[in-house]
Amino acid sequence: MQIDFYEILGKTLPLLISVTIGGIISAVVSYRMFKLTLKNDRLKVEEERLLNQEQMRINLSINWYFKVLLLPNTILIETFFNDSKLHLQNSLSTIKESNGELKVKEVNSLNAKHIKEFKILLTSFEFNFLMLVGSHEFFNAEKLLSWQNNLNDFYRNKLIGSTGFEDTQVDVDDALKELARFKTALYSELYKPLKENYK
Amino acid sequence: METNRINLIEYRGNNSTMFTGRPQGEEVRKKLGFDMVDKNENKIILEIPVGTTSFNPSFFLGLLFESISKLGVEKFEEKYEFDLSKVDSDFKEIIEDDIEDGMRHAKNSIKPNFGLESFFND
Repeated sequence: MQIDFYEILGKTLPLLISVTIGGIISAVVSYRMFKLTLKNDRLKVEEERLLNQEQMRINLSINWYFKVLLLPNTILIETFFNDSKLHLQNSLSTIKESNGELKVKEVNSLNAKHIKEFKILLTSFEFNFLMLVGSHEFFNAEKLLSWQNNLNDFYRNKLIGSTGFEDTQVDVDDALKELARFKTALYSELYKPLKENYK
Repeated sequence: METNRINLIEYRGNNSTMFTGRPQGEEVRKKLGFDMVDKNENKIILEIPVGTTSFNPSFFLGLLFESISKLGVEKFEEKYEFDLSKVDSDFKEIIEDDIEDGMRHAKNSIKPNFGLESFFND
């Protein structure tokens, strides 16, 4: 029996070629997938590293905010509110005592004096603390500005709005309670970055 | 260039001597149509009426922040002017300071990083 080599080759060659091509494709795909997995793993590691780095930076920044900016200045905040409380109390008491006895010109002078005194307190607090804390990256300085303006509005409403009324209508305790609410609102705003960012 | 004088007396509120509150300032801004006014070349003189005891920065920002933001500080200062000639001498300095405070707050709000940084860069 004569073996026809060319006939066998003709029959098996397509199979051989397709197996070889299949093998090559499979090897290439496997290699590509391996490379891709390797790349993905590297990306994941890099991403985690960056996230950790960012979190570390945030933690450092927040630590700095809390330990350098906020805590040492608590005394400044407390002093501002103590001074404001005293000033509001004294101003309203003066207004209460003098209502009905002063002429328009005298009332104006009294109001102007009180407004100027509080303006000094608030502007000093703005320059010494609010601007400093407002410059921190995690701080919403717009809210701080809004708080400052609301406090200023409240104070002037109380001072100017209290002149010319009967004694009973000038409620000093109520005004002081309102001032205390402003203090609570400020502290709540100041501690927000800690609650939102510290992990 | 035309000059328009606006007396703010009717926007002060009944029996009030103060201009106060950002929402109130924004309301007056709408009534006066300042968004349109900002587009023309006319100069505006805002008259602070007699008997005014306070022109709070909150009201200033409500009334004029948009204009400062759109026009920029320099153009705004060219276009808008305040007339305090009718204000009682006791309150003149206070109102001048209020306007100055309002301008400072507006400038700080316009800048992306405001606070200490802008303070040192000014």
